Amino acid sequence: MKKKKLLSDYNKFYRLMPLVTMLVLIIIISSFLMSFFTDLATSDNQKILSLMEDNLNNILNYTEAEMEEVVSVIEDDFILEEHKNIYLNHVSLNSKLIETIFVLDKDAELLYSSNSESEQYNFNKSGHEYYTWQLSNKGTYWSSPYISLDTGQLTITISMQKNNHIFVGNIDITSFQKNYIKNNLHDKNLHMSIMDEYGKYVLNKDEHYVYQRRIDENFEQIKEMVDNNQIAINLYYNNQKYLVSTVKMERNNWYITILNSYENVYLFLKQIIIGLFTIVLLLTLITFIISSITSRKITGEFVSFSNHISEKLLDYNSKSTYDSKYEEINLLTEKFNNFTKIIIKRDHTLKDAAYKDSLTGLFGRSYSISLLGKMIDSNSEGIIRVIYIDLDNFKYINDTMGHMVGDEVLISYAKRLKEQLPKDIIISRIGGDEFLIIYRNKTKISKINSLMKSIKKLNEEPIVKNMKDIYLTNSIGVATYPTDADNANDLLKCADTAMYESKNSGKNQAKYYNYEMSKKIKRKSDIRQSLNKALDNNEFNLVYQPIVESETQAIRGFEALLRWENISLGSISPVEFIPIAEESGLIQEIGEWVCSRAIGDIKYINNKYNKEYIVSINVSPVQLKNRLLKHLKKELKVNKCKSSYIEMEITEGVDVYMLEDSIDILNKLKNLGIKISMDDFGTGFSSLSYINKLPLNTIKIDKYFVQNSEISEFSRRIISTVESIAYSLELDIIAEGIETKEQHQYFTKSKCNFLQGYYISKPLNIKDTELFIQKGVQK
Amino acid sequence: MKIGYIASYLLIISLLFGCFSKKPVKIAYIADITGELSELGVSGMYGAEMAVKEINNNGGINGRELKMTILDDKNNKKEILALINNLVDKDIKGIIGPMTSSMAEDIVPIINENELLMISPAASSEILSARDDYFLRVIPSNKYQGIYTSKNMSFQNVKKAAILYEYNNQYFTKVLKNEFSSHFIDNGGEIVYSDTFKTTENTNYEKLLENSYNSGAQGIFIIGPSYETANFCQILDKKDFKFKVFLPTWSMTGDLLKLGGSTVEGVNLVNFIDCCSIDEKYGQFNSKFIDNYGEKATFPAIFSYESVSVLANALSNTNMESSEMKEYIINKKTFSSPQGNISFDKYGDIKRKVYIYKIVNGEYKIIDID
Repeated sequence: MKKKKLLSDYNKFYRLMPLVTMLVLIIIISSFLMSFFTDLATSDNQKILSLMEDNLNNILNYTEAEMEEVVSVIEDDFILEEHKNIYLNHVSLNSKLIETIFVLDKDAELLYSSNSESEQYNFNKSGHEYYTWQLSNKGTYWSSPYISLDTGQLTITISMQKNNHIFVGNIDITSFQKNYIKNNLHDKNLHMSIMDEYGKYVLNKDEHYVYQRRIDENFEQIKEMVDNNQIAINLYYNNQKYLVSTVKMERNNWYITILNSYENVYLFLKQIIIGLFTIVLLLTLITFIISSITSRKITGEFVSFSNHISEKLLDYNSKSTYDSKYEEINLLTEKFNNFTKIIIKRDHTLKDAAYKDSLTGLFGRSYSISLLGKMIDSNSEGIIRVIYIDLDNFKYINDTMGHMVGDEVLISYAKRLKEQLPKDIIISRIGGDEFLIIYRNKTKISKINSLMKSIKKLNEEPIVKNMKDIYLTNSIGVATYPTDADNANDLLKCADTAMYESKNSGKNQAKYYNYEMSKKIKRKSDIRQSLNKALDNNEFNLVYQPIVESETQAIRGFEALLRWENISLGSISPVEFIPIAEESGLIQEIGEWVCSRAIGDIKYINNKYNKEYIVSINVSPVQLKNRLLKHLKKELKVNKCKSSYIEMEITEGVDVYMLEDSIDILNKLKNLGIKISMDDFGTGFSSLSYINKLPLNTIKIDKYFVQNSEISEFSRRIISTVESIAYSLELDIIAEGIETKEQHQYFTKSKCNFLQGYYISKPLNIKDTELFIQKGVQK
Repeated sequence: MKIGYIASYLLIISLLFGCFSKKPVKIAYIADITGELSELGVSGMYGAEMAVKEINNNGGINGRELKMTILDDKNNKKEILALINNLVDKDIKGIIGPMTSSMAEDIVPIINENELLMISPAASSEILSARDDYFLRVIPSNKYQGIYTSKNMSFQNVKKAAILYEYNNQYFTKVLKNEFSSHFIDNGGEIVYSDTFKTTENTNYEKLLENSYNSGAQGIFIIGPSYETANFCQILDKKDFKFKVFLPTWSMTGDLLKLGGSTVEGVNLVNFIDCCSIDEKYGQFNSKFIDNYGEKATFPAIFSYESVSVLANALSNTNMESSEMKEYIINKKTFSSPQGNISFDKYGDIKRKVYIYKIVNGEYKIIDID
């Protein structure tokens, strides 16, 4: 991950930026100034050189003039022979430069001398350059410095020739040096030198260089400079850089050189730069200190602000405030505090949403479960009761009166719970129409009974909505900790199971959880899971129970009965698995399978035996939807089966509300030619008005009445009444469940058209059904 | 990011200083370069400077500039001791010089103690021979000058010889005088007069020559610098003392011809260089020397040139420690020079051909070689 920058580092870095800018500026200014000062120094060098050249020329001219005068005086015999030495001595004493003068003959032997007493002047001079030069040339010759035998000193000579006489003047370098330097160089920062044509010093500010006959270490470059007409070059002497200018004197090939040290050239520039640097450094230092203090204050404010945030994080409700010197930080603080408030508010809202049911204001499901968990965890003695309340038929209220009314009913019921039940219990709404009551009971074991009474009492008064009285009933399940479960989820499941049992047992009642309930639930769960695969595994089968005419015993048809054989659960009764199939929605697919098989089979039998037997197919009101209608149409078409072969049996025992919803589909079935039969007639909700509404063809008298017909007068009257109704409505009537001879005889004589039951035949598989047809009715 | 800045700074600094990072290799030239007797030192200085220039023009010492400091010992013991003591610990890798044996004898203990390599172009005293020390030289022992001067005298039928020798440089002059005398006497000669003179004092040349002449000597061996020798020759000429004059290598410089003029005609000398060599290498060297300094290269210039070349060779091929350089020179033994190859023995001494010279028409002419 990329490392984040620190605000303090950022400040440190950018605080140096002005310094860098100033330094760059100084460098640029300095480079301009350097160029300016170099030009200035070059110009100065040239002026000094010019002056020095003039001075040197004057000196040399003067000396040459002196020598020429000597030549003239000696050669033109202006003075007597014996005075010539005295004359020469006089000249040398009065000359600025010439220390001694002597005259040689053509063999280099001495003729006259200014210092005639010295033996050395009498020496043979034939080895000297001036002698050899004068032998082959004529004119004025200036020698290089050498140690003279005459003086024992470093000497340069000027020589001239006339009439085979050679005139030599010795010039002592020391006096030349002193005179010349004294007259020409007052600037201690300038180094001046004169060199002969080989770079040997004739004169130098440092006189040792002359006496040591040193060659200028950069003489080659100096010669090049002259050859290239350069006015100045940079050279190093003793590791110091100099601006060097030079001029060559044509008369004797001497070089006059000025060395101007850059220390001197840039002396003023140096002061300017030092001044600028000092100012910049001072300014930078001041800026640095000020910005450091400011920066520290700012970062300090941020740290304090951060501490304030940390405090708030520890305690949302902390009333601590932070007051900064800086308005921006205060603004930030204010916005942060506002932000915190919004978060806190949202937090409360979220908590409410999580804990409370927004509709009723009671606790919500997850909160009540967590509360139950906490109660269990902290429960050391006593018991905890969980009462699961479900409003019976609430769906019907929603469906018929609308959800608004449903919600209002829930609110009213919750209000009753809150107001009329004891305050020390926890009441929550955990689902659509499901409420939960939790309480801890340490000693009063009888509390549950009084509480149950109170709950029941809540339903005594109707809830009035939209001018209608709505009476409520509850299915209630009760579970107890630690008897039934040892944790919240299981305890709730137990209560739910008990409530479910109540509901299955006819509603409007309360059940206490027991283990058998769980077993039932487990069995139901196993069946549900196996049902999912039953069709694919081809586990279903149809058996047919014949229905015969009571008078002739001729076969009317068969009731198709579904059988399920599961490999692990064994043979399961439709009574057990059909409700589960209805709950899970699998009933549709199973029903369609039943229809397909029954249609196929009846078509096969009728074709084979050239009959028009009717197959009765049991159908749950849940199935009575357009989907079934479509399926039947498709199967009839595919099997080319007459619709009159098919009879759909609906059970009277189902909810009257559901039946009412199915009337439309039943009508469509009837219009298709399919017969409609009412099963278990006399046991359910059917009223005469419904019999009228439903498009029935057949009524089947419930086997309860059939089997009690022998012993119960009441049953016989009922049967008689039903027969009368069917007769009057022109409906076929089938007595089912005939198991004894007596029953058979009774119903053969009755008005029942048709008979069905074990006495006639048990349900048969298709093969046995065919045998049954083939044998005819034996009994 | 910080690392990036530091790296940039280091890069810039290294680039700036990279150009100057190679420090020059420092050596020193030490000799008498001032005054009447400085001809030897000045000539040597020119030869050494020319060698340094050539070495630097050819890339220096493994890319580093060879920098030579010139020091003037003024032919003075105190002066040279001060200079040498001052040189120690100044990162001087080697010394060229001194030019006289007495100066050499004074400083050899110091250079040995400090393990500082010194190559002398002209200090030839036999006393300095066969020592396993940090003193090396490119001039052979002066005993050969004595022997060959003696031989030359015998050859020229000189049976009686006078000797005048310089007093201050006795490490050289006296040893030479003794070597000469010994050989001369052994070969039937006779030393009829012997005396000293001092370069530092006014010498009564005439008196010394007169004494020599009066001793019955046929030849005179003057052991002194060129300036003094020229004086002797001038006086000899003036006084018309009929001597055959014999001079050591020490005197054989340009000054002798310049100052002596016609009075040094016929003077006999002994030397170890072939100044008349027609070898191309020497021809190039000599013409370059004349171009640079306006005069012919004499033995001090040639020997100084050789000394610098040998030292630079050792510097280039060693870690520049004196002990290693000395070992290198002795092991390598042979080095090339404008005068052909020169060869060191295990003590850092050298043997060379001996050339017998006579001054003819103002020039040195070889009359014999051995």
